[in-house]
Amino acid sequence: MDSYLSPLEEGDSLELFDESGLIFRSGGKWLHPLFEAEAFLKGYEVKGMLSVHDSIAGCAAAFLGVRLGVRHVNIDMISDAAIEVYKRHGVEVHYTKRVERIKCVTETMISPDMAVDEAYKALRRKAGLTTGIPLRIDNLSFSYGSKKILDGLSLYLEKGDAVLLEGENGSGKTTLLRLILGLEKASSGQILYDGSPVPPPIGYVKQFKEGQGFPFSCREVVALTLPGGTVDRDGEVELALRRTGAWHLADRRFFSLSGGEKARVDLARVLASKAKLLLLDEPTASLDKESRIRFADMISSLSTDEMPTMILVNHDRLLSEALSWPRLHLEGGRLA
Amino acid sequence: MLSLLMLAPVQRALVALLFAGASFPLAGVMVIRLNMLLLRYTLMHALLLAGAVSLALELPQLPLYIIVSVFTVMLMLRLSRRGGMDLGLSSAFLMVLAVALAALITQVADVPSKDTLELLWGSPFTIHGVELAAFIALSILIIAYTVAFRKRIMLLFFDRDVAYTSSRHMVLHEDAMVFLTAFAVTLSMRFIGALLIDALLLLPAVCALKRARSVKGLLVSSSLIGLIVSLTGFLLSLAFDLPPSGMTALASAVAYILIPRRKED
Repeated sequence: MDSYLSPLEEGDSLELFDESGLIFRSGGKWLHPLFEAEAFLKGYEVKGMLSVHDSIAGCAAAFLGVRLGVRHVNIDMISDAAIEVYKRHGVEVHYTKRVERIKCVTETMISPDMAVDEAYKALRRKAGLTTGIPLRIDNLSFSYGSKKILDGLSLYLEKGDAVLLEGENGSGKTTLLRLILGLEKASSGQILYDGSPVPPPIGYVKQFKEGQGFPFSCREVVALTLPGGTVDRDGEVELALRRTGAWHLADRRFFSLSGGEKARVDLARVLASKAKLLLLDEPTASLDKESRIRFADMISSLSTDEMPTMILVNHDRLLSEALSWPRLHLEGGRLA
Repeated sequence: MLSLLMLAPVQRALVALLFAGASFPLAGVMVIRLNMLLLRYTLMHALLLAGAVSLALELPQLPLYIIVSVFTVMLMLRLSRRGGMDLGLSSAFLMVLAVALAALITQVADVPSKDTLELLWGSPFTIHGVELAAFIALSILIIAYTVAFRKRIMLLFFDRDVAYTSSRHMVLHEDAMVFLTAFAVTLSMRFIGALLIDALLLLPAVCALKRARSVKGLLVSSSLIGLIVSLTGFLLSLAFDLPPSGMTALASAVAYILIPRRKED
């Protein structure tokens, strides 16, 4: 039970325990052992409470431990900020040596009063563990005939950024998405995807209005945009459908599903595609309240766990509040 | 009936129908999903135009048919991409234009309109060696294309925007499907008749739509139904000495009536 209080085995920098004993060990440096532990736990069913013995922990390691769900820690060298983070989140702390601060850039980048998910996203980005790509839009203009829709719009999103795009009907939100998707050509300006003007495969979630009666099974829909070279296609499809809680719909006809079910299956398709850039056009527009809450949870965990770069066109107040992403307001052809 | 089956024209007709039965319904699924229902009417009218030109200028018919069909399809695609029309609207526009030009040429060049209209009514028994080879080649091409590019075809069937943002070269596949369908319609109209085109192109796909739970299932069952109705129709036509086009169309219609619709999920 208290194995985490014993000294680390030689070569180990982190050991992870549950009620069954030692379940994971790593000799890695910096925050990598904690990210490795996170990956390990995705495929492991924890028995009882998690405990950690770590060689060194600053504020960043403390946040990662909290996010893992660790309840007890034993740290050989710990910073004041780390103790504050652990205590704020109800983690029992043991340590050998306490210092004012750890000499690491993350100690200044992260402060103990940050939200756990906010700190976690910043650390994933620092560790290069985001799946997203940077998106740069420079001075973009677009007109339908003589009507100017976008007027010199500029935007920069770092890899893994997620934003809500809001604005009145007809303000150009969908046009902006279609320009980013490469479905329309801008009058002037440019869009760079990770430095390239060529759009990569983009995960696009839209509202489906057509297609009633065409017999796509949900399994087929999710398999449509799997990356080329995927070996276990059936396995990937099942995993994605399970992640969005839609596995039981696998053999149903996609276009006969309700709006909420369709949204879950289409999100599974986008997850399975491993797209680095996701554009979602009012994905909750036709959903009931329960489905909207569920959708917000799925999107929120996607933006935190995998961090693709995401733009979500939104009119839904409930979604805005649930996601608490930065909001961009489109007005007069520009972003405010 | 067995003695009839020993005749070379009957054998050629049977082979042509079996290949068309197995492959054309695949193009039929494309026609239904990509809103190309008017395409075959447009091509029928384009063939009237080609026929009128051929008779007026005494030019060989088949090359002219193919040239006019290709030109019509290219114009249709251009109108639908740059003219703000969908495939249905651009087909309707060109259909009217083609028949108007055909009527003018018929009048100006004093071509008998009855001769022009007869061009629409082919018969499978008139197929000769080279024509049969072209027919088989087209059938194999349709099946091979569908198998080789199933994923991209399905992406376009699912949603055009999603297809264009998920994979490159989708415009080429969209064009390929339109051209394959156009060639199927053009060759069929000349060799097996306008009536048989709908019976083989559309009805098996419509029958399969009643039962299919997946697009893969839809493609496979369309092809099987096409094969069965073309064989049944052909054998019945020999047994009762009736036109194969009419009997195949009848077999397709009976299949549509007999196949029950699957209950929605």
